[in-house]
Amino acid sequence: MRGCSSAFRQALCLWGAALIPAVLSAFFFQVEWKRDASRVSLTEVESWKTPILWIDARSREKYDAGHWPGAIHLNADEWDALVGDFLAAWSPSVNVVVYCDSRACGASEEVAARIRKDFGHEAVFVLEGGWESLKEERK
Amino acid sequence: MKRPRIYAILRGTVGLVFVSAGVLKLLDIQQFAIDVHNFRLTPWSVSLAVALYLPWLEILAGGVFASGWSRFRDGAHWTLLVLVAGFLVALGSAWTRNLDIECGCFGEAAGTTVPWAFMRAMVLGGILGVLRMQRCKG
Repeated sequence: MRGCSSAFRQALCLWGAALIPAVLSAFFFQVEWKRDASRVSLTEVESWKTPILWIDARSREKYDAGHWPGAIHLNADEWDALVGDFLAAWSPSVNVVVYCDSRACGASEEVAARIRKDFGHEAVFVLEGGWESLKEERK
Repeated sequence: MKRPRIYAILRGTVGLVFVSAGVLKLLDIQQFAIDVHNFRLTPWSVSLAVALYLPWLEILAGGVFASGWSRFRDGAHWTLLVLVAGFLVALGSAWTRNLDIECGCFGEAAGTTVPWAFMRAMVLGGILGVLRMQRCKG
């Protein structure tokens, strides 16, 4: 501790000390380091031969105003009420593709993570560009 | 109330704000990683590393700062200033790009928007700056 005298050294000591629980928590929480692979573009999705189950993770109002054909409505806020519809349409052989508003929104990430966690379904993907990219496709 | 006591209360409050922010993030690391990733500044692996590291640094630095532990107090103070500066850069960047995202600053408990989080970080930074100046004078 004698080395931790100046403010800079003190800060370095704190930053170093915080590394220890951070590394331990990486093992404890079993985080998904390769999650980026789950983000897909519309072009990639269209090239798949596997059946696709589309999930619309936006709000009820936006879903009712317009959604991708066949998309099931499912979001974190209304999870319990909507998950039944998802389960009715889901089968282990499908690729699940979740979208929300745009590239910036995080709702699809949240829903995708929850599907993986709750149902152990690994083939869950987040659509890059979200609804904005789908609307472009429809034009 | 005497000034030193006001400064001590401010220091304790700011420190505890950071501790609570760190604890709330730890409650759902995966979600916090998503919140970090939604800023679109880092690849996923870096977002996740930040999500794993940042809460512990906030807890440690905030705790030391609040307690006033003299051996590490200045280091904790500078650490918190650097963290706030980092938050301001990230939030400012998201704001200018008009990203409609959750800040993630207090885990999922707050659900704060970017402009509001930016203002809050400014206030925290201001208080930390005042305390820094007071410390230098003292």
